[in-house]
Amino acid sequence: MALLEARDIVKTYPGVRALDHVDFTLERAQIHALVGMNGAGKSTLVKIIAGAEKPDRGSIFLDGQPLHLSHARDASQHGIVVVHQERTLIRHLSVAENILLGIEPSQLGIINNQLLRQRARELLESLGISDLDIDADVEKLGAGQQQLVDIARALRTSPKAIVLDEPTASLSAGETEHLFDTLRRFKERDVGIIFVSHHLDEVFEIADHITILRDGKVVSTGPIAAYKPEDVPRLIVGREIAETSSEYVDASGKPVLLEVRNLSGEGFYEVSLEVHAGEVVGLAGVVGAGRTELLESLVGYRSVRNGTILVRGEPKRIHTPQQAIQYGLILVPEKRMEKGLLMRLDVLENLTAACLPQYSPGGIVSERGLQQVANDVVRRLSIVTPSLRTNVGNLSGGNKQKVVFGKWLAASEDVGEKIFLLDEPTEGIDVGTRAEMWNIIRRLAAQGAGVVVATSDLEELMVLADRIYIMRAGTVVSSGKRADFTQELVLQHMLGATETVIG
Amino acid sequence: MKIEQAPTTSRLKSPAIDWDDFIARYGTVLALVAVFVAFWVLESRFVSSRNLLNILRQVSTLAVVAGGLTICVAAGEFDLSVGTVASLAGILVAGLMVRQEQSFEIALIVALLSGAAFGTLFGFIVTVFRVPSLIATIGGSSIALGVNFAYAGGDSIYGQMPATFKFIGQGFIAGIPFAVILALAVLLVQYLFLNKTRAGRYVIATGANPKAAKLSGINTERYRFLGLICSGFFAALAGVMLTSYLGSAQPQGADPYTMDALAAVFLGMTTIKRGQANILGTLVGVLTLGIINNGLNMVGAPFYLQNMVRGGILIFAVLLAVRREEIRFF
Repeated sequence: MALLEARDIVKTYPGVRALDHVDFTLERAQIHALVGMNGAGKSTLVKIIAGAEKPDRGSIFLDGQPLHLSHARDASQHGIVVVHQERTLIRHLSVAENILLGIEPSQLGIINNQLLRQRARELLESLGISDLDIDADVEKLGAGQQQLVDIARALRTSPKAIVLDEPTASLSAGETEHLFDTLRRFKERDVGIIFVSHHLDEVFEIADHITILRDGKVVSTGPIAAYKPEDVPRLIVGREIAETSSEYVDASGKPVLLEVRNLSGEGFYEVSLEVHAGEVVGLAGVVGAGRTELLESLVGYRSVRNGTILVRGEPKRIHTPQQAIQYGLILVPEKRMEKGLLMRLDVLENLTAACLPQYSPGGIVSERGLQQVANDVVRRLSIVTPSLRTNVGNLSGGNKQKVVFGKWLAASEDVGEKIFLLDEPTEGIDVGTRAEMWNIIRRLAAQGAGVVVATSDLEELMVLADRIYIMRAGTVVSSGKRADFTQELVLQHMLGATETVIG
Repeated sequence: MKIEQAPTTSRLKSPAIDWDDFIARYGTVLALVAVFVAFWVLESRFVSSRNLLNILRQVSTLAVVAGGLTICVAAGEFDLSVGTVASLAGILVAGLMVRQEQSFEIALIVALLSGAAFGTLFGFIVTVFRVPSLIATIGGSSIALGVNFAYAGGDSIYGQMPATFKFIGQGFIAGIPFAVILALAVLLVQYLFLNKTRAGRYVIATGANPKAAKLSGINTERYRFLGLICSGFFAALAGVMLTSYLGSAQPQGADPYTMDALAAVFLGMTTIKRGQANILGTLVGVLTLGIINNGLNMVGAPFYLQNMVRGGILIFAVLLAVRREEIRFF
């Protein structure tokens, strides 16, 4: 008898059939990968299994018994635990307090601190997490360690089934390995694990079984050994993906658009780099290496302590993103929901947020001008949206990202001479859209723009970058042409396994 | 590198009229109509041209405050001082004419500037010193009350006021109260500002996501500042209108506008442009409050019921919006 079974699940949202007669079976001691493009129905299926959404049709069985979930709490009471992508930690509380939140050992309401710390330590040990200070304030931890605390809390109840939604998004390679060890240990205890991920390399490393969703339907399912890694993307996308490695562009003879000399600020120090017209510069590093801080400081969203920024050879002092934009320095930020999208506003309002000055002579907006430019961007980036007046929150992740990016295409009549700083441009978007974004990024460079791509995705780095800078712990530790690097070498530099400096 | 176009995700064709969407968007308007019809059934005098004009005149001052507050909320800020700022302007305009024997023009300008000045003060405190507007304007509300008492000693101000001044609140043009015409003109200007000007779009973008707006090159501080100035200025204008209508100034006469205007703005956020403070929605909110107030009077409901109903509407409007995830507070 299967541990967890979803039978004939149908779920429709206004205008979209999210799940179309989906069957899904999780066995005991199985790590079951759930993959698919954004909008394929992964999150909806996870939400239904977790009790956060009700299916229109179909049922969930746990140990052969039908399960009626009307609340997320019901699922956890039945031993189904979900680890979400977002952090759910309480600031100012320690690691131990966060892990045992809500079940603190206490007498008459007074928490027994010693016992609390002891239990937390035992739990972490049983999960194989050893390098976490249980007394540390969670706010002071890095993103990866915070995630481990989150996972530890989810797993404290000895669950039957665990659902992990994109668990490695903010983890470094080392932390990911750590997590995988923990998952394997749970598997040995007969726990079933659903692993939702965009990273196929991870899927092939950890999973026993795979289910591929496309457009709300299961297109393929079976033991992982029956699949070849190169076949899966085709199943996910539903068509052949062309080989995605771009030709190397040598832009060293072209003018330098952006030069950064010994720049320091909060989270990074003594960074020097240059970006030529027509090239894509990759900025690699683990989460917390200082890439985001560097990029956001370059456009004046954060402050620079010292050092020099030269735009087209001229030193510039940039205090606000407004100034940066005037100099042609454009940041497409990470975390699109938090920093990129004007939520609750429509696609048109989002696409035109940065180009209003061009389309509002005398301060009065030209509705027709805006519509033209927005339509143009929608077409150029193949943004899938019912209309320009659709609330941007209703788009899929990949299309949201295109909107965030498209805002700058709308604002740039001529992309040449501009410098685009792209922070994790394909984070959490599907394989097909990711390839489209790569295409768009290469095209920008071909038109004479200088592009910086900060990415944790090594495949993306190797596909896109003509030259690579690798940051670790706030500064550039290595740089060179793409040809000088392999994924393995980049990883070594990111993690500090080698001290050699190339180029 | 060659990559094919991504496939479009399959979407169901939406029917000609999506009733769920229609109800969600216009439910508040339908409720307004329902309330109107209910009072009509209960009391036939409710729908007479005299009473309808009366309702419009009664809500005209609230409409002016609520419209200004709409801009402030659209920029992502709160202003809990509009009532006391309006009261202060009402006292100032009367006192300057009656006690200091200043001309109508001087009194009007000083009164309006007092509102703009409070808005400017809050703008500084909020954008430069990063005090949340909720706190700055609650504190400021008490300060405005203090200034009010310091100036007028807590007394009402009666006396001879120029005819031009009284015309604002008591005059008619072609049978329509001038206050109604003024309020409509103000709402039109506010509507055009928010929807048709670059600055208005920036106000909305700032309120929708300040981080994203800033990274888009928008000077978000400027538009939050502007929002607070608007709410202060229009509150002062409403205070002047109220004094003109009453022919005298009460020290705390306009204080209830804070709650009523908030209720109107939040009701407005549940309709037309859901989740966004918008002028047309606010107008619906203002009319709803006005019709309920007037209707309860007409059917002879006890006066205290009005307070309870208005408070209930504020909470219900926000409850509705939060339930539909149109507004999120924490």
